[in-house]
Amino acid sequence: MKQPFDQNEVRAAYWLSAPALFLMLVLLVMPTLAVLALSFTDAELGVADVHFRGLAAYADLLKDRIFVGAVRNTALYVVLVVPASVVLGLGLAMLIEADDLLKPFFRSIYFLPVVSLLVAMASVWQYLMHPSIGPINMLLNKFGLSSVNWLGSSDNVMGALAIIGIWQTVGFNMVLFLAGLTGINRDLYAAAEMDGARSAWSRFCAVTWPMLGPTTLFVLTISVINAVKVFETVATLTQGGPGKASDVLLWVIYEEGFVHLQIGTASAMAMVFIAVLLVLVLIQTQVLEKRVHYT
Amino acid sequence: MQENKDPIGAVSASPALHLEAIEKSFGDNCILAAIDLKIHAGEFIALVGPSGCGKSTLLRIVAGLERPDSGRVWLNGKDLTDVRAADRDMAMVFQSYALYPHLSARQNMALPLIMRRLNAFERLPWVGPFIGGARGKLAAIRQEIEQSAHTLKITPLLDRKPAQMSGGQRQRVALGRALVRHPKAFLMDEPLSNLDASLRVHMRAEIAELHRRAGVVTLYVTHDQEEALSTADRVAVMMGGRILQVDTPQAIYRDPQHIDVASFIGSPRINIIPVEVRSNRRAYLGEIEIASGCEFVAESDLRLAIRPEALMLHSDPRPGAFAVHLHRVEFLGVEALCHLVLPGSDIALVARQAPEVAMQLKKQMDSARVLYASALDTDWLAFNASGDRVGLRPPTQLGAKSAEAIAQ
Repeated sequence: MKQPFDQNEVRAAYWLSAPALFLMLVLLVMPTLAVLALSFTDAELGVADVHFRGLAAYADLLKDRIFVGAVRNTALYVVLVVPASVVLGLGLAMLIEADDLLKPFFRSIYFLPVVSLLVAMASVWQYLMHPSIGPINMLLNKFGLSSVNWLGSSDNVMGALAIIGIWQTVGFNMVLFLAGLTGINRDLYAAAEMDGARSAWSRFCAVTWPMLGPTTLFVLTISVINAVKVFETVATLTQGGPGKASDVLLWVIYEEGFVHLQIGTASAMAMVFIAVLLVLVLIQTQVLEKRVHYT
Repeated sequence: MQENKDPIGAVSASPALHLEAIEKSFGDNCILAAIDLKIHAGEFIALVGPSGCGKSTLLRIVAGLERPDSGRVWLNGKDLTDVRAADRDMAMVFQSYALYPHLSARQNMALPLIMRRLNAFERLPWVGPFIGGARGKLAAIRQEIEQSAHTLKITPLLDRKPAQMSGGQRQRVALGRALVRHPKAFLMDEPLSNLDASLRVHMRAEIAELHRRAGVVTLYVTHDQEEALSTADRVAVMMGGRILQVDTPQAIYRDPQHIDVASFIGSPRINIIPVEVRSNRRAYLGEIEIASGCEFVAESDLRLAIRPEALMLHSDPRPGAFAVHLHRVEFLGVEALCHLVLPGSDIALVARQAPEVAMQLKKQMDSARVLYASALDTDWLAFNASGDRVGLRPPTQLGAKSAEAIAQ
């Protein structure tokens, strides 16, 4: 039954939430609206003359080979990084969960990439993946395999960036999964065992996987959003190259807006980017949420 | 009588479930020490004890979820010690119910049957049902679920998920999941302690009834002595990792073999009075002679115990009665509890009286707080320093019949 609210209470509630609402308006809503407005113009940084172009910038984007390539590369990056980092994160979490003694140690080790500065770590990866002096290639040679031009070849560059991306994401996903695993009622495993679940796999299917549903959904969403936002490794290691082989969404937006100073076009790209993220979040909250929370 | 004295309650017939010299420690912490327990076919045994006494660990060892450090578990003559839980064919009901929250009641009940009857391929999602005999097996499973659901009156709940049910309904579904399999033994770990009081009383009757119908060995763990006494064929009282006594509920209540059993079982608690045996073989507390009708072997730290309902109160002194102060009268509807204090000590006693009697006494209490308490000689229980029961020797003039009843 709904209770009618006291008018004073309603007023107090508005006053109390006003600071947060104000900040949201100034910091989130208004900038987004400003970008939306700019995307309908041909604004250029330093040029006072601004013309309204309507949806022309968006129409241009569809024909823009660089932008379409960036969308494709970003999608490829997401497809490479997300499944691998989610599955590896879950696997690591279950391995670590099984051993109480070394749990804190492994938890910290795998969490290191998350807390370390990716820009700094990128130089380490640059060294590791160096075509001639890089340890990875030296290791490959030792096993009789030929060297791979990791970051310098347009065929390999997205794969190499994905490896770095996985390295960076796995630890975070693992910690989230660890939290999810500790939340599972131990009795459920005992019940599954009593119900005849002999193998670890059948217990995983009966208990762990369904119980981790909400965690997995969260990890999946965060991983996808983070992968769509890939930028640091591209900016420090490849700058979109070789050729345009590692152009990704954020990098192209950055170049368009801050190098070519085409604010209008960059704003249109940013709107597309925001739209993609919004769709992903909507999928999470509207569709999947209902299937993983068992209430 | 002889059977009751046996600390493990062993009787001749070969037991259905036999726990033999089970020991278990976690680190230096000894949880179970030399547990022996024999349970007959179809028997309902309640394991009762305060929390931390090891009863749940023992149950998990029987289930196969925990390994004993030493000792063996036998079921119908088969050594199960090295058999894993999934292969023991026992069903367990958990305090937390442990229902799979993502599955409906029907699916929860189906899971143990599917796990046992369908092979890995038949269990595959989507394609599984089309493989070989899977369809027939699934149809049989569906029918058995309907049957068990009917028994437990949960048919309308079958398509609900646990989160959409009340605690009592979840409990029924958890029972259903155990029942549907027709296991060789039921193990219940405090199955009712998450329910509210009235539902608990109702459900314990239902569990006893289900057991009567299924006729399967049941091991029921509870910390609630009332629950244990009301449901079980025999009660095993556990304390500090040991089974102190295994007996019928009546014998556990009337004839406890250890002072811890006497004080754990029964509410309000049994009255315990430390006494000193003087040279005339009578028991005294200070200058008060407590049980005047019996003779005692002089033993240090002897304690006498008397159930609250066995303590009689009188308003005037009489032979064999000792003086007590009436402290408070507590009315509980059908009965009243008189809280008493022994003069010159801080020993509190409780006497259970009919409300009219208690009312009368309370009226008198306003004028004089002193009452006189007595009990039949046969109602006194005596325990030695280590807590073990010792026999009372009635003076020779007592009738042979009552002498027999209390003889060692």
